[in-house]
Amino acid sequence: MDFSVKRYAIFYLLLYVAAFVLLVYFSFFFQWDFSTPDELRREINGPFRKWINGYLSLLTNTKYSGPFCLLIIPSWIYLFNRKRLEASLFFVAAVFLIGIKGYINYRYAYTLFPLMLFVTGYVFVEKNNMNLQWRYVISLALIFLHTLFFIGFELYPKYSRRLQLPATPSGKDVFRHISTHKDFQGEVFLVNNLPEFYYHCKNKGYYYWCKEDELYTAEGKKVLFNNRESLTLLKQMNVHYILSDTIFGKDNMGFASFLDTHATTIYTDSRGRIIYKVRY
Amino acid sequence: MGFLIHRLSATQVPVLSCFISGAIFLLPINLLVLHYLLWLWPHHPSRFYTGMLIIFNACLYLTVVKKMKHFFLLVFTEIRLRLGSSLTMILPVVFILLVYTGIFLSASKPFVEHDAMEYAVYGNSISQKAEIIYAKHHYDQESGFYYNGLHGYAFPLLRTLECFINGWLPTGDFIFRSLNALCGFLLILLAGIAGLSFSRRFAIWMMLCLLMSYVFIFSFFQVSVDHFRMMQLFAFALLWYQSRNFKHTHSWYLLLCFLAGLAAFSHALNMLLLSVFLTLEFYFLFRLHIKPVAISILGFSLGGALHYFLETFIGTGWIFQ
Repeated sequence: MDFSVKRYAIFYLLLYVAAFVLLVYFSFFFQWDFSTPDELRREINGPFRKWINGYLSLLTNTKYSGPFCLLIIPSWIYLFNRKRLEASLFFVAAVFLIGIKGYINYRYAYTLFPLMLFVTGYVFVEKNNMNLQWRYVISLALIFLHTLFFIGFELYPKYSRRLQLPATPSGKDVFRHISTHKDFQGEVFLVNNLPEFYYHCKNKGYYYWCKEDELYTAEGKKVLFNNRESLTLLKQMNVHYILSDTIFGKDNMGFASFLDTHATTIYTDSRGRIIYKVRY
Repeated sequence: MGFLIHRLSATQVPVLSCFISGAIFLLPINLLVLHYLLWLWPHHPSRFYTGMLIIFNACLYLTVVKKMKHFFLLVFTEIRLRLGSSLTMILPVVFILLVYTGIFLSASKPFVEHDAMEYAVYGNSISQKAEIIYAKHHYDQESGFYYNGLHGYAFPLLRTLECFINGWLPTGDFIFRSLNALCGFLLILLAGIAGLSFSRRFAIWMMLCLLMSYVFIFSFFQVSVDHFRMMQLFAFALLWYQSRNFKHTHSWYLLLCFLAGLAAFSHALNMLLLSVFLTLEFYFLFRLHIKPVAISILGFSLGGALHYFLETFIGTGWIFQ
């Protein structure tokens, strides 16, 4: 299959438009009835979105990677046509691996971003047969499109929020509270997925993750709150306080109902981290 | 490191690529040495480990010291040739100022990232115990912390190294917090140098696109392993790409796969991607000839892939978990 330059350009354009239309359609208008709130929040509700936003996130993560994640597909076709078989096979394997290992985690898709830039730049900016003026136009158009994605969709809402965080915790800080308050000296905590506790505090804390209801011990993982003897187990471990975050609250019903029946909130800091006192 | 890469590639790989790759892999190789020391000679005071690292770096320096001047002259000439004499004077100054500002701005942000925090806590734990063990569960009896990570130890060991350094040079956790920003700048430089293999226009385009990505800026101000592992992967890919059309010695492939191993040691995804890549190259490039394949596997393992082998069979089970 040997394309002329014009055919290539039309082919890329159609592919890009088709991918864009499909993405917009399935992202905004296509809704599935059966899905958990967590899946809705992560935009992976329903099998199609699970595939598009989950397993194929390397190719569709425009939110983070701009237009380049879409342009990698025609670049891959170019490599394939130029008999760069190992490069195109590696690309397929990479999409597969990142989909399986990373799923919706943008960090995994980000791994190949510089390589994707290099390949798409090589195909679109350097290696096409257009004259120099057109190459400049294409490269500037790509940067312009990329910048639009950057500024228009994501720059202000998240980037600025991150930069606004103060260098030292202002207001109430749960770890400073634990370290300075005499009541907590020598007390044992149940720490719900907050590794900062071990970084800032000297107290002992059993590591726990409520979403999976897993207590991590020397022998491995154990079920805690979906177990009838959770209170006895906590007593045996000498746990008097539970440290958690408001965003984890509803992830596990067993944990949530235990907090309702056997715990009292005694401190909440400015970032939503909570200390509960266990009532035996 | 850059000089070694340049020498072993028989000067076929562009000198700028060798220089930047050398700068990129210098820290990971130190972390790998620290890993072997803590694994094979545990329970020594922190002075022992820092002393051994100083000796290792001194040995590295002594092996190349005679040709160092010539190498830096080559690098400088290449930069001047590419940028012109006026830009050669201005750009490094602007770049250093940017790096300085970026690093301090980034390090002034609070350390709240979950994964990086887990690495840091595990790094603290390693420095306190002065040992690395391969076990089914990484549980710290004293604090109750359980390390869940299935990645290489490069990033936790960075924190360990900083804890050791803190004994005689109090940096707090500045190095750990600012590494991502520093690696972000190195990644931009690397992208520019990769683009320079074609044209100056492509180099500027690469740098601009990377710099204007939301994902890059978002990661830049976070404490994370991302840029650290990505720059290694990209540096390896660039060296491989630039040396692909030349016939090379086995020692070059040993070095190159050793660098791939270093990249793998920083993150499990690097390990998986590089394993796939090397397997494909064993077939397409080496045509399954035993000697180059065996040498490449040896380099890859020594460089850090051995960690995953150990984790799989005597540790957490890694990929089977």
